[in-house]
Amino acid sequence: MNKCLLRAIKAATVFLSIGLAGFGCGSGNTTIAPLGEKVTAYDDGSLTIDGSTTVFPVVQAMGEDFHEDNPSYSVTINKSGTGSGLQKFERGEIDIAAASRPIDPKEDADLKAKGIDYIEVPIAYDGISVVVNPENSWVDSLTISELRHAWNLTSGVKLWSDIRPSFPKEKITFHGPTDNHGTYEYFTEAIDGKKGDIREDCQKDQEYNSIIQAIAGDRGAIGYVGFNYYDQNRDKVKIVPIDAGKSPVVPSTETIANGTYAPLSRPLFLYISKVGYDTKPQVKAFVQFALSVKGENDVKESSYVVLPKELRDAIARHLAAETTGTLFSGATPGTKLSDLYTKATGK
Amino acid sequence: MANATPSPDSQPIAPGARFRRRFRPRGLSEGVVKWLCFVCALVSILTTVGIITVLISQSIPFFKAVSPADFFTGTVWSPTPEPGKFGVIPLIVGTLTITVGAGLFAVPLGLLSAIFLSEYANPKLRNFLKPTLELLAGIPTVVYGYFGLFFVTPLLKHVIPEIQSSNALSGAIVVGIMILPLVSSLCEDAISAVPRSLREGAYGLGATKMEVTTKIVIPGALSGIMASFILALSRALGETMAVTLAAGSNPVLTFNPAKAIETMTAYIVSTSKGDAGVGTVRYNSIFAVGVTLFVFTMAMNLIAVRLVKKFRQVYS
Amino acid sequence: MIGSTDAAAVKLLAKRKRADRIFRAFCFFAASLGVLILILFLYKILIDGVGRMSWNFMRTNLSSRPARTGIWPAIVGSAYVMALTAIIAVPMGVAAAVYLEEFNTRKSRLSEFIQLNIANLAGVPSIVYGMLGLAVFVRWMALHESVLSGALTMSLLILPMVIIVTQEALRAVPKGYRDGSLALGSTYWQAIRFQVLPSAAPGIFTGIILAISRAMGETAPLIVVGAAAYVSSIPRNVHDRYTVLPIKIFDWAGEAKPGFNQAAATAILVLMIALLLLNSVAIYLRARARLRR
Repeated sequence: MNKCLLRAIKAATVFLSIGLAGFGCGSGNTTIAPLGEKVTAYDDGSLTIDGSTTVFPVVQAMGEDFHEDNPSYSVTINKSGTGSGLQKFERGEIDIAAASRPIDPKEDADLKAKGIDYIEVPIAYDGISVVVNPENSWVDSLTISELRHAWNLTSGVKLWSDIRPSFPKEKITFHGPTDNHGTYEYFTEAIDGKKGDIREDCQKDQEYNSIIQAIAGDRGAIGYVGFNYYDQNRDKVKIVPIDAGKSPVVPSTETIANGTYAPLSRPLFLYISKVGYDTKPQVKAFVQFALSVKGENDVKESSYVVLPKELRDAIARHLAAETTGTLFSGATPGTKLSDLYTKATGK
Repeated sequence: MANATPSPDSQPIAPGARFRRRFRPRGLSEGVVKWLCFVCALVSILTTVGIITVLISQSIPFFKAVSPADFFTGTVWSPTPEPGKFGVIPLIVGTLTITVGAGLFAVPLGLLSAIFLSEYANPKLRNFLKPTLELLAGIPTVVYGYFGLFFVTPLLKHVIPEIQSSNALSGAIVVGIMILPLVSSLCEDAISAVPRSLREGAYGLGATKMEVTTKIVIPGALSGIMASFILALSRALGETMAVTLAAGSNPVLTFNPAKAIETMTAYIVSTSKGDAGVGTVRYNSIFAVGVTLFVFTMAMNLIAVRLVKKFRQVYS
Repeated sequence: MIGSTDAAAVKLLAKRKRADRIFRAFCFFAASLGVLILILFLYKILIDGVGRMSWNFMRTNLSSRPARTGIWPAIVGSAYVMALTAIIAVPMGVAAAVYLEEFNTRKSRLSEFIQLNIANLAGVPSIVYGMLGLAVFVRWMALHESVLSGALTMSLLILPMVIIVTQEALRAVPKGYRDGSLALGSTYWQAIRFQVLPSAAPGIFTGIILAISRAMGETAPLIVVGAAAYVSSIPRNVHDRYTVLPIKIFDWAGEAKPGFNQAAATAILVLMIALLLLNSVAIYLRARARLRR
C-alpha cells in the first residue's frame, strides 16, 4: 500500500475525529434532570415523546405538524410502549408520555414518591372493533355476554353454533394482539372482566396488520383490532356491531365519540410533567396544539375519534387550572369521560 | 521439543528447537504502546463480563418470582392473566424450529455449492459466483424480514392457503437463505485447505471427481465443514429482525409450520417495545430469556471450537 | 483374464461416470440457486421500491403520511452512527489484534482466554449487545438515548469482527517481513509499524468495511438502545436523539397503510445501494492487494 494513501487515510481519520468531537462539545447541552428539580440548564428547544404504539400514529402526525408550525423546536417521538413510556417519564428522560390506558395505581404512587406532578390530558378516543371475515354472512351482531362466553379463559366454544344456536356449525378461530398491547388489556378487562383473561388458543399477533390478514384469509375467523386498523381495511374485514343491552351499535366516529359504542371505546392519553409544562414553552405549545383544531385534524387523519366539544372544553379548563393527578383511578371500561370530568370540575 | 527462551547472552540451543521470542520494549514509548494494545484486548473481556453481569443481575428478580424449574420446563408462555405462566419451552422450540429449518435448507445446499465452487467450477465461473454469493451475505437482516413478509409468504399462500402472514416456514426459509452464503464460504475455505496432493493421488488411481470429493476431500475437510455448520446455525439462532417480521410473535408451542411462532430473540424485541411496565415480572422475563439465549449460542460456539480441534487433520 | 471382467469394468466405469455427472449437476444447481434467489430478491425490491426513488425522497423529512414521507433524518442518523462507530471500534480492534498477534508471542493462558472470548463474542446475538448498551451506556453512564450511546453499542458489536479480521490480515503477512526488519536492528514496534501494518493494511481495511456494512444493517440493538421512531430533524451533535435507516424499514414494513410498505422498499433500495458502494470499495482494495503480491 503506498505511503500517500496511508497518510491520506490517517489524516482523514484525524480530521473526522476532531470534527465529530467538536460537534460533541458544541451546542445541545441537554442536562436531563429529574423532573422534581428545577431545570436550570440550557433548554435546547427539544421535545421528546414516548409511549404507546397505539397512540404513536396520532402523536407522530401532531409532532410533524407542530414542527412545521414551529421549526425552532425539534421533536422526537418513539414508541417503546405504554409501560416503558411511563417509566421513562418517571426517570425524567422524556417530556410527555403517550398512553393507551390510564396510569395505573402503582405508576401513580411511584411518581408521587418522586415528587413528580403530572397533568393527564386525553386527546382522542379509540374504539376496539370486533371484525370477522367478509364471507361471514351469519353474524349480524353480538352481545357482550356472547362475546364473554366465546372469549373468556375457560370458554369451550369451538364452533360458531356454540355462541348462538342459529349460527352455522362452522369452526371458529380467534385472533387478537399480543399481551403487551394496551388494546389487549382493555379488551380483556371490558369483555372478560379481568385484565389478561382470554382463551388460551387465541392466535396472538404483535402486528395488527397480521391480524387483519389472518382474519381476511379464514372464513370462520373472528378478532379484535383498534378502530383505525378496521377503518383502513374496510375492504378486507367485516365489522360486527356490538349489542350492549340497547341495540347493536356499529363503531364509527359518532358512536365512539358520543359514548353509545360501549364498553369498547377507550380514551388515549398524554401525560405531561407539570414542571415541564411550566418551564419549557415547547411542551405547553405542543399540548395546546394537540387540543386545537389542527390537532383534531391529525386525530381524524389517523382514524381515531375526536373528543366531543364539551369534553374538550372541560379538559382545557382542567389543563388551564393545571390540575395534577389522574381522574381514572378505579375507573372501569365503559365509564363515560364526560361523567368523570363533570364530577371533578363540578361543571 | 525444547522450548528455548533465548536471552541476549546466547546459550547453546538445541537444533530444531522452537524459538519463543520475548518482547522487550526498547524505551518507554514502546512499553506504552504494548500496554495500550493490551488494554484494548482487555475490552473484549470487559464486554463479556458486562453482558453476563447485566443479564444475570436483571434476571435474578425474575427468578425470585418464577422458579427456574417452572421456567425451563413449562410449556405455556402466557404472561397474562396475572400471575402469568412463564414456561420458556415454546420460545425455545420456536427458536429451534427456525434454526433447524434454516439448517435443513442451508447446510446441504451450502455444502454442495461450496463443492461446486472449489472442485468443479472453472475460474471464470468461480469469479462470478463467489462475489455474488458474498453479496447475498451482505444483505441486512431486516431486508430478509421484508422478503419473508412480502415475497415468500405470498408464494407459500398458493401452496398452503391457510398459511398465516407470519409463519414458521417463511421464517425458516428466509433465515436459511441468509446463512447459505456463510455455510458456502466457510465450507469452501475448509475444502481448499485440503492439499492438492491428496486429490491428485486419488485421480492417479482412477477415481472420478465425485469419488475424490466424497471420499477424500470432504473427510479431509470435515472439521472445518462441521465448524461451519455450527457457526451458521449459531447465527441462525441469534437472528432477530428477519424472524420478528417473517415468523411472527405468537409464543405458542406448535409444530405446524404454517402457524406463527415466536423465537427468543423476537420475544425480547417485541416485549421491550411493548406495554409491560419496566420492573414487572413480565419485563424482567426479557433478561431470563436473554440468559437462555446467551447460554445457547455460547454452547454452540464452544462445540464448534472443540470440533475443529478434534477433527482437524494436520497436513505435514 | 481380460474378457468377462472387461465388460463388467466398463459398465461400472460408465455407472461411476454417470454418478459423477449427476453429482456435478446437483452441485451446480446448489450454487446457482443462491444466485437465482439473489436475483429474484433484488428484482422484487427494485419493482417495489423504484417507484418512489428520487433525490426528493432522500432529502425530505419523515412524515406520518406515507405519501409525504422521506428518509433524510434516517440517512444522516445512520451515517453519523456508523462514522462514530468506526472511529471508536477500528483503532481499538486493530490495537487488540496487534497485541494478540504480534506482541504476544509468549502464548500465555490469558491470551488464549482472550482469543476464545472474542470468538464467543462474535457469535452472540446482536440484541444481547443492545441490552448491554442499554444498561451500561444509556442508564449507568447516563448518556441517554443519544447518537453516542448507539455508536458505543455498535462498536462493542463489531469489535470482535474487526479483531478477527485484522488478526487474519496480520497472519497473512509473510514472516520474512518481520524477521528481515528485526535482523536489520529494528525494535518490534518498529517492525510492526513500518513493515507489518502497511503490508496488512488492505486486508485490514477490507475487513473493517465488511464489519461496518454489517453494522449498518443492524436494527435490534439500536431499537433497544433508544433510536427513535420519528425525529423531526437531523441530529446536531452526539448527544442528540436520532433514527437510522434499518429501523424505519422495520417500522414501515410492519405498517397497515400500504403506502408505507412501498416506502420501506424504497428505503431498502437506498440502504442496499450504500452497502453496494461500500462493498465495491472493499472488493477493489482486495483485488489491488492481490495484484501487488
